[in-house]
Amino acid sequence: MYSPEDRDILEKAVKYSMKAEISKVKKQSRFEKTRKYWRIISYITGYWQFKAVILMLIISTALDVATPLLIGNTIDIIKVTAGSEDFETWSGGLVGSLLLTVAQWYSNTYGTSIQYTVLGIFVASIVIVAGLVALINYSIRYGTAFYSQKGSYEMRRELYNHLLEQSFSFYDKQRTGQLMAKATGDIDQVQRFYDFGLRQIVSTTLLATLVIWTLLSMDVILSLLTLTTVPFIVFTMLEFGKKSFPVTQMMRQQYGDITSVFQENLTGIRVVRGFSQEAQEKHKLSNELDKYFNSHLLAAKYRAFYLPLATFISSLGFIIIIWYGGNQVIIGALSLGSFVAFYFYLFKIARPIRMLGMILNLFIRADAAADRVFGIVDSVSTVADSPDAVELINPNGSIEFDNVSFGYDANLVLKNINLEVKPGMTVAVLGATGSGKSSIISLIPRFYDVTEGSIKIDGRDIRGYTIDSLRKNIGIVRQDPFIFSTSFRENIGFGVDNPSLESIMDAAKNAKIHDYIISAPKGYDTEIGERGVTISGGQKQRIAIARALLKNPRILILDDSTSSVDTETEHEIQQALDGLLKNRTTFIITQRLSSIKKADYIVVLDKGEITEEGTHESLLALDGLYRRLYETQVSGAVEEVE
Amino acid sequence: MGYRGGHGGFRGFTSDDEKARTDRSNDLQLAVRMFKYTLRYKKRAALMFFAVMATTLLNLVPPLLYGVALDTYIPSLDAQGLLWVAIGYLLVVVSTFVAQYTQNYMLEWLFGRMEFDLRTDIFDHLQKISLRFYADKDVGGIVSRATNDVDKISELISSGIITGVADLLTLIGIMFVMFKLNKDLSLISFSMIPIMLAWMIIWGKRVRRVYRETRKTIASVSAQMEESVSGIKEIQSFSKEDDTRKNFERVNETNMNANVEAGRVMSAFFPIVAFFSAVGQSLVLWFGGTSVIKGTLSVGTLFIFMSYITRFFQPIQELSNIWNSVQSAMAAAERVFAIIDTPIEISDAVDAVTLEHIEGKITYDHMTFGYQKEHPVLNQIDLEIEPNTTVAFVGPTGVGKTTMINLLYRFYDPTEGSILVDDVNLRKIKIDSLRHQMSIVLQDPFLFSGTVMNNIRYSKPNAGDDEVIAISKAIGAHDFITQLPDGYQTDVMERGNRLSLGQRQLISLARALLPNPRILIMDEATSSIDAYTELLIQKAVNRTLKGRTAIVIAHRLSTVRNADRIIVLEGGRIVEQGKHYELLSEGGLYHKLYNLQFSMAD
Repeated sequence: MYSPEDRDILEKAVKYSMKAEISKVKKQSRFEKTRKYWRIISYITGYWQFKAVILMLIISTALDVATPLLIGNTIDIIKVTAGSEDFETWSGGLVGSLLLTVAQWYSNTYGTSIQYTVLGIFVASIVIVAGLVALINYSIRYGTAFYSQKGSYEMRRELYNHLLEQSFSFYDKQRTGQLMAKATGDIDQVQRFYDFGLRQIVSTTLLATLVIWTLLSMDVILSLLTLTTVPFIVFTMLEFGKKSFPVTQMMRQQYGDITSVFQENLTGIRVVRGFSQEAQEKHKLSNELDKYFNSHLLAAKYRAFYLPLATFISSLGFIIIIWYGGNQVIIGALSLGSFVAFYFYLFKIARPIRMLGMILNLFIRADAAADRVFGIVDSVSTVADSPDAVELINPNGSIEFDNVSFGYDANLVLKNINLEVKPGMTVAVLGATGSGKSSIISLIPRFYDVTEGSIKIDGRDIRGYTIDSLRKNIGIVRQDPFIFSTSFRENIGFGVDNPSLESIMDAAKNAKIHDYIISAPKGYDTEIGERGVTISGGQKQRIAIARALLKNPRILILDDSTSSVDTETEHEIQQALDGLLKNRTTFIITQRLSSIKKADYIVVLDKGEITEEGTHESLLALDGLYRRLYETQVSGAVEEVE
Repeated sequence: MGYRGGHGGFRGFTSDDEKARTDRSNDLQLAVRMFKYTLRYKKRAALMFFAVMATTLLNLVPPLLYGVALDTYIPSLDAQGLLWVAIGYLLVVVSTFVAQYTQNYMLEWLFGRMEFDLRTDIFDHLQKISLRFYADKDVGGIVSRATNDVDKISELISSGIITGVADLLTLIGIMFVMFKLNKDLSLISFSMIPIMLAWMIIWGKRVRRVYRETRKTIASVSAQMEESVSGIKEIQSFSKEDDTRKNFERVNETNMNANVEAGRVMSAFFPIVAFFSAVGQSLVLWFGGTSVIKGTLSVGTLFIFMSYITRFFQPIQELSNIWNSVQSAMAAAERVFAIIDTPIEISDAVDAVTLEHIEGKITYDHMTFGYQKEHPVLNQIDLEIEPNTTVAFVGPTGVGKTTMINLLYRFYDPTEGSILVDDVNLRKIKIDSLRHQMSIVLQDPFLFSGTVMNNIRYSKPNAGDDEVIAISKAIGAHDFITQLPDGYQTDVMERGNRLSLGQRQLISLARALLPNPRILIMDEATSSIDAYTELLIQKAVNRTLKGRTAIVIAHRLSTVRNADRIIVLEGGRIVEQGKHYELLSEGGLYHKLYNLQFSMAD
């Protein structure tokens, strides 16, 4: 039935899913596991609804189990009373006898026919039980929905709070997509387990216990014979889960690959068409589609085989009832009603037992998802306030780099940086991509902490200030600033609490973006992004400048290193910057000569070290890299020297 | 499929398309087209249909066998007969297994194949249609048609229609058998069907409404989270963690409340259905029971009725869900077929010629073009570019410089006039043969996920490793490539994320030069490279422009001043052209731009 290719796929899938799981889940001892399970559950156990649901589950399962018994009793009574009015020969269970007594009392009091009264009472009790079960089940489902939502809400909240606190080095290692998947997908998994999985585990266990107990009380041998099928069903379903889980896991990955091929093809459509590589692209896709289809077929084989197999095995139970049970009835060892009850009981537990595999699956996924979520929640931010940190209030703004070295990992990207910046000075930082420019400026607001040495503001190590107060005094304009999908007003006012519209407009005017904003459909209330207007890179930069102007920080950091805007826009940004630089200590990363010339001091970085430093004039006199760079730009081009 | 589905019972409640669709006039056509995909494999489809019929009918048998045992063999104490019933039962069970296996496997095969075929068709078509199609659409939206929408269609085939047919068959089968066995009792049993259906439809609507609300609220939770993660640098720089947190708390809570409300409404759904089912059973037990007492009904028949009535419930519920899955699939099919039906604007003419080796002469002849016909972007362009010269296009953003290139590539056809390469009209050229001799380097260079080696090789798939390395050395990219963790075999990750913009630019330059193109186009190719790096590669770039026709677009005038001819565009027309010094002395737009740029430097 399985081809060699199928075995290949399975092997790969098992390896894949093992790799995926192992990399995600670190080895945990039994103790750690138990503690983790308690932790997962602890999000919901606090609600009284949780305890109430457990209690109601017991009641509803018990009532549920009573129904086939009542049907069986009714059949017996009908059978018995079809000929005579003699109930002496019949012995129902506790409930049956009770109802019979009620019926006899009613019949005697009101003079109704005993047969019909008995039948009526039993039928009425079935309806009443069903009504009760419906009411209780409603409460159970509602309660479950309530605490599972509360629990996942709480978990999402914790996760989010931790995300906000993490240092930049945490984000460097993550991709936004993965974080989002964690936040939404993983918490959904856990929520599903809270909602559905937990309830099913409890009710299936209860149901199975009660049904087995009831069946045993009716006929021991028939029960044992019928119930022998149960382990086989469970085994089949577990086997199914074991085989198909890795394949479906891998399919998820392959589905992602198909999406990527589409995504890349469409994003790069001009490249594809430009180079006439449509055939190569089609080949890529059909390759991925093939892989997916083959995995799909293997998963289909498992599903097509194991699910009917489970049905088959549970059907064997019904055959045993009809054959062995029928014989028992013939020899008078079993009542006809019990025979019927057996049938309905088996019918009742067949489905939950077949669902065991699915519940197990749900549990495994929730377990892995919880691991990932807790992984984030438990990771301690590497940048945190020290216990003796003080507030930084109205600093003069002198900055000192004292023998600073820094690396994101073992490799140092900055080595032995020494630099003293007086209050109000503007420092320009130059260097090639990867020379450490961006690292230098990320260290000042403590987005990362230095590996060695120290950075001082007003003579005190910045690790001695609270992060919040430190950052409140530093303004940053990034080369690719993030614009929130809110209004212009909110975007510019982002850094300040309750800014007035006048102050926002002032900042916008100084940043040379005001005219554009008032020409937008709703002026300052125009939404930016998906729901509103799209803005260009130059406009984004000017909004960021306005944001920084409004904040009015003592220390300013400008990352201005690309220039993918046209000449006129560049000119406007330059003008906007002029207003920003006044009276602040400023670090500016730039290629623009106009900005460099505004600087009081220039630092040239190469491979993490300062190679040239000084004023514009002194550097020109040095005849080094700076001079070459300057000349290229002023003269306009590299003269042909060949 | 299994991993995509959530709870089967909720399937119908998770679709938004029902409301979105107003025009249902071509539903039939859509349905026929969808089925045509399955009918490509007639034998398998027939086998599956047969298996579905068999499974459904076989499912009706067991209660009947019990009935026979109860009425015939048990009362007559016939153990032998009981054995035959058991054997018959076994046969039924074995056949059911075979039929179910066939049904499941064939079904999965068919819809898996349908997904395969649909995706291939969409993709192939996307490679052919005009770039105009992409102008006003985002990539995510198109991709989702090929992924989510195709899933929805196949879901309709797999779980909607097939189980629908099976459910309907089961329902009819049960009703038929019941009716045959006992007319009165069957009518009593059927009395619950309309009530159940009514409940499912009425309450189902409410359930859908509350779930629609939860989809909105979870979307804003995701959006807020996404934005916080993307904007984390901004948030932390401005110390806005607290405000952001409060905002999130609000959406998170709204989402929770919507979900609890949805849970409350949903909670009533199944228990009530189960209650109706029990009421139906009780009715049968009462009326059936009295008949048994009177002697007008056998215990076996009563049992069959009791047993069948529990099987009513599922098919009815499934059927009530199908409508939603049909609606959502129809909406998906509309979107999918909209792509496949987009006309192909540009294709080779039947008499198109292959250009073996072009000289590289380019002529724009009285050419006018607009993305929308009423709004021409370029107006009456006349331009002749001699082979082996470098021409620069200069002008403000949006003036149509890139459009000139798009037209040369024949991504679009001119509205009026024509473009000629080596004096042959583009419309008469086999476009592949021309594109193979052209290369382009873009401002935001697009790299495919995969190795550096394969990215450079993309333009010439049969090039050897040594060729790739040689070209990288020639443009000065070799050094940084060998410093990457795995050298040329380094995976650049999605969109080349692992590399800096400058590095991507260099790789895309190597890619462009590998096939040794006759025409090379640099669309703002070096603008994102920082001045420092540009300094390092400028010579290499200048060298590559020699010996071929080159078109350079740049804002940075320092990049274009060495061109043989500079074309200044404004308002969709050519306003100035000539050499750098000629244009400067003319004192026109070029002069103005030049001054603006260099005044900033002084």
